[in-house]
Amino acid sequence: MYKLNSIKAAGLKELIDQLIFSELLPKLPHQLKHVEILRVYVLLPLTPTFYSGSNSLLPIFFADRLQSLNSQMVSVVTRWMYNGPVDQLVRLISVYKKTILSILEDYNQTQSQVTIIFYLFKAVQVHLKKFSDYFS
Amino acid sequence: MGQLGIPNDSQNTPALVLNQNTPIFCIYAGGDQSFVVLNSSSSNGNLPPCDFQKLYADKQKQILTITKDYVSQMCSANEPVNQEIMEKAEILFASPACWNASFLMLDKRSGPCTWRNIGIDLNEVHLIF
Repeated sequence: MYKLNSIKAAGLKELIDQLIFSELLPKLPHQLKHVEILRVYVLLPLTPTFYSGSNSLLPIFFADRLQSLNSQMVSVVTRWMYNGPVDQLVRLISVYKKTILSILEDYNQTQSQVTIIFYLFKAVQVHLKKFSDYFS
Repeated sequence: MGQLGIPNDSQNTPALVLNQNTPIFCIYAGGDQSFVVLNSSSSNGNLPPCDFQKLYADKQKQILTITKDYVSQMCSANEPVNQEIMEKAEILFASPACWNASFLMLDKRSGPCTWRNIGIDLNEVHLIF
């Protein structure tokens, strides 16, 4: 059985990843015409592009789009997800656990960068004070 | 909802459309808007109504969907990928409508898509994704 994640042609794989992220994601429907328009919200997280972790921004932007739906529509999507196969739900939870960890790691990294910049700034201040004391 | 053919009124229940003497060419029924196209031209007087049951049989007129056949075509493709496969991917993976029309349960017993019933075969999705 052929699966999307077994595409051999790198160019085609890249095109699909790009289309999902740059074209499909911004066009996800958010105004209810009929519940069937919400199916794509259940299908998208099942794609290899989503769960492989190759694009860490995809789960974040997807969550953002999901949050932009009103509460009734979100409850329909979550109900459908909840009633789907358990392994798909587990995989989705696993993707978001990884995403949260990645955000936390980035945050810690940013915090340590801020700390380094802060100490560098303090060091420069001390040197500037020494210079101003010297020339005064 | 329900006011198709009643331009000066709005109602949520079906209503009889009166004074309709012009032949109907086709009816488009969408999620939030519906249209009736009339055939008022005398030169097209013999134009038969558009039969979507016949059009449905024509694969070219159907919405593109993600199918086992197409995924297997993509998986078998080598670089450089056939232009037709690339063009189809550009339409298919960029359009929410194509996604929403994919993996439908064709068994009528599964019922229509509602907030309780997604109406798509998630096991088939699992096989392809």
